[in-house]
Amino acid sequence: MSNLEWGLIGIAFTFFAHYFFVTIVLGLSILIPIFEIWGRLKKKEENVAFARKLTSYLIRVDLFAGVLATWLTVFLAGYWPSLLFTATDTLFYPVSIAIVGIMIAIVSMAIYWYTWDKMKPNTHIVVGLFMMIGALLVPLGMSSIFATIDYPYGVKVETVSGLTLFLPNNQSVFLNPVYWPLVLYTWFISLAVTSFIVTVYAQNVVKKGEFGNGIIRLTRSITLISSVLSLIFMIILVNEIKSYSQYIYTAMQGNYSLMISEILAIIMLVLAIGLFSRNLIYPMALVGSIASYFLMMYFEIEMNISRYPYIIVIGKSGIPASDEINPLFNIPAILPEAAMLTFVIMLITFLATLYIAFIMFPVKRRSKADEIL
Amino acid sequence: MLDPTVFFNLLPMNKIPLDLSSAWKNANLAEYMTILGIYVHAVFLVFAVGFPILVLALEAIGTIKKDNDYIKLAKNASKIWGISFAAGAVTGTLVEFGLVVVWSGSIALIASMAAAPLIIELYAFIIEIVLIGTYLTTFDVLKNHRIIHMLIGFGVLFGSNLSAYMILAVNAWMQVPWGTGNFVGQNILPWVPTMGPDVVNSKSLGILATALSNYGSVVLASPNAFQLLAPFTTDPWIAIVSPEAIITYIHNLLAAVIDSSFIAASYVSYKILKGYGKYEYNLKALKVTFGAGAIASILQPIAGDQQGRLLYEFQRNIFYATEGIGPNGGYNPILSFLLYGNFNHYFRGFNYLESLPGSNNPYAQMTIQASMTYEPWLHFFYYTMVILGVVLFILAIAYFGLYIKLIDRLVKAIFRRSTERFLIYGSFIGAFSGVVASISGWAAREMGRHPWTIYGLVTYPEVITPHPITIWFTIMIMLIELAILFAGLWGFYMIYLKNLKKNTEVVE
Repeated sequence: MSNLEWGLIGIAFTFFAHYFFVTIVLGLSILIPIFEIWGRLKKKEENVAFARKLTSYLIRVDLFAGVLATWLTVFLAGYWPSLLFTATDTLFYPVSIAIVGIMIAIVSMAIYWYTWDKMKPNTHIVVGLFMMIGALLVPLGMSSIFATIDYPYGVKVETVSGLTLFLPNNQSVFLNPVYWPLVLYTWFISLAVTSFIVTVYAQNVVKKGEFGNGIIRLTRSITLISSVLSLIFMIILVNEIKSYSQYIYTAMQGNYSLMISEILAIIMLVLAIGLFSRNLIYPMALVGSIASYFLMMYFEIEMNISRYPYIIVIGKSGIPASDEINPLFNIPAILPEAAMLTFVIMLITFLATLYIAFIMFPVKRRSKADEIL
Repeated sequence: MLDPTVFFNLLPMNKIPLDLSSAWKNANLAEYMTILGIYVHAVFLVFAVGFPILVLALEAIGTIKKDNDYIKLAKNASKIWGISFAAGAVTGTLVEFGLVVVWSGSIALIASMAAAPLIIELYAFIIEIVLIGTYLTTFDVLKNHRIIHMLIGFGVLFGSNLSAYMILAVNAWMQVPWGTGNFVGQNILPWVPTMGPDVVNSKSLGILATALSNYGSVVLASPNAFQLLAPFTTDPWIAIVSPEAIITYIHNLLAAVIDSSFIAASYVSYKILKGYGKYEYNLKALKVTFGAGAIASILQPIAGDQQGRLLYEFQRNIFYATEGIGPNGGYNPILSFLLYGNFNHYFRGFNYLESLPGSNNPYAQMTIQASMTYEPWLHFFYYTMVILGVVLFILAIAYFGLYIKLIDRLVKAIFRRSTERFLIYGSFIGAFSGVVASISGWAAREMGRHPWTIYGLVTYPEVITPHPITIWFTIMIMLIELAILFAGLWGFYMIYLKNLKKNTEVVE
């Protein structure tokens, strides 16, 4: 296979694996401080304890997400160097914001985790809010890349005698009409997917008697709000794409993916409402988790596939992917093949480890006098 | 096939060539955050690379001797992985982001000679992170299957070392661009010999050097720029198999083992001196940790010597600066003996390099000038490393006083203490010497390459982002880097020091 084929497969594979984990990281980074704040305000200790439990998952998932972020960067640089340069050059400020967000999120996440019961509650909440802000900054920056390849506003694209050039212009990339709906949609769909999953988990721990019903009341409210907002911002986003990125819009409309996405979003909303039915919480949450995740991935995949054969869409045409692929040499196929095989094996190992750690032999909290001698 | 001349003439940037002064300003500011970022990364990296050997050694001894103390020590030591790997992965990701965002021209390097090592590093990275989790999680679960558990530990060792090798291979290619044949020697730095087989297209190298030096990294904003450089190489694996990569890896691996072993040994010594825990238990830990550091300290001069020989062969200007040879050259009997087997070799110095045919090009002049400017610092850092290496070597020999009577008697005679007591105090000196030697050695390596990002091919301002790097941006990033460092160190403190006294009371 050529660099182009491997480049497309590799980046799709890595992106979608990464996307799942960062969605959970973002969702948990928002949910956890909400649980803690709500628990402290209403003096409901179980919410605080539940936040703590969720943080232990967040730490583990974040490490995996971080590794896959590196995968993505290296694959981009290896197979799509020109595209990566365009992103880092013309989108220098938003990408820098994302990097600062990663730094803030990681530092505050570590502090947040290690300082349970060791800090004043209000100070701990502030650290949690930093974690939330840091996590929100990451899609705030990274969405600019997707907004730009859908509609390169804020980027000057010049074609001279068959040569293409991407240069920054004086327009701010933050004013790209596709950008803000994309950011808001990303924030809320991530929160919706995560809160559905957390509701399933909450229902399990409530059944076991570890927590009271209070945690479900909070998580289903968040699920409903985020599902409503996801649907609203998805509609706005589609509308902006229709106005500014006709090629993508036409392609998505042609294969009914827009309609399917909208139906899935409505199903997600109905399931979120269904969480308020006392007897149906568990099945609604379970199906909602699958439906919301499926919606998020389906919409994302369709948006990306719809650009093909272009990698950057400009109105009704664009820059072909073949122009952006690394032409320097044929990257040996063994490299991406081994990468994907390793990924699959390690993902299975990772899931098995999670199973051992949380289900087979649940990790007990260390006693205060830890055995470190 | 595109014609480079046509391409450059069409570039709008052609009208505005690279503003060297602002590019240098940008590069100089960005350098501060990059230096700090890499050192912060290294703090955690040292444990990620050095500790697997210690942990596995402890677990293996415990399994063979059926001594539960060693198993417990292995478990406690492995707890550091949680923080060191997390912080190492985070800082590594940030260094990588920094590379592609701030030093955006380096994307050309990643897309070419660094592609293979960096893609392989991805496997290593994921193997390492997943197996660390599995190793920690299954420590007690697999207590009746220690061999299987150790195999998981070997997976961690393999992952961390493969990762280190690949990253260092890229750094080594930036020092000695192996596979470029005579290109650098013939066109830019006349004192540079052939750098390996001629597998990199010299026409592409010429275009790359011209494009970046004239227009800066912004030239890469055109996908056509990459097309101009094709085909770039016939051997994408070359960076992995260069002699510089192999020696750099061994030298750095040994440094990581020395640092992490002596830091662990000093922690154990601290416990002994403060009376935390049982003496016999702590002594077992001291023997293994100090022993690992001692073996690495004995091997390190061999690796260091090989590294020095490569420096002499391929980066003569840096060699002169680190050895303080000076412009007019001079005699250095020790160096002469090591390199030529006699004491009389005359080392010619910078003036000789300047007199070589072809040295009148601005890059050769700039390189010699930079080496002369940095010479006092390079000499200082280099010899700090060497002197501390000697201190470590002495400590390493003393360690064998535990097993060899003659050395034991010597230690007692010279230091007026038993070997055991000497090792307790010596571990602090070892930790200090190892860390300072590592910092100094890396400083000499990176500072010596000035003004080059890739020696003889691409300079710093040519790969810096065209966006202005402000002082405030630099300060903000550096503050966040420091926050990551302190968060990690605080994590170490929380795990290993905070509850020490309390634990002792519980145990006793």
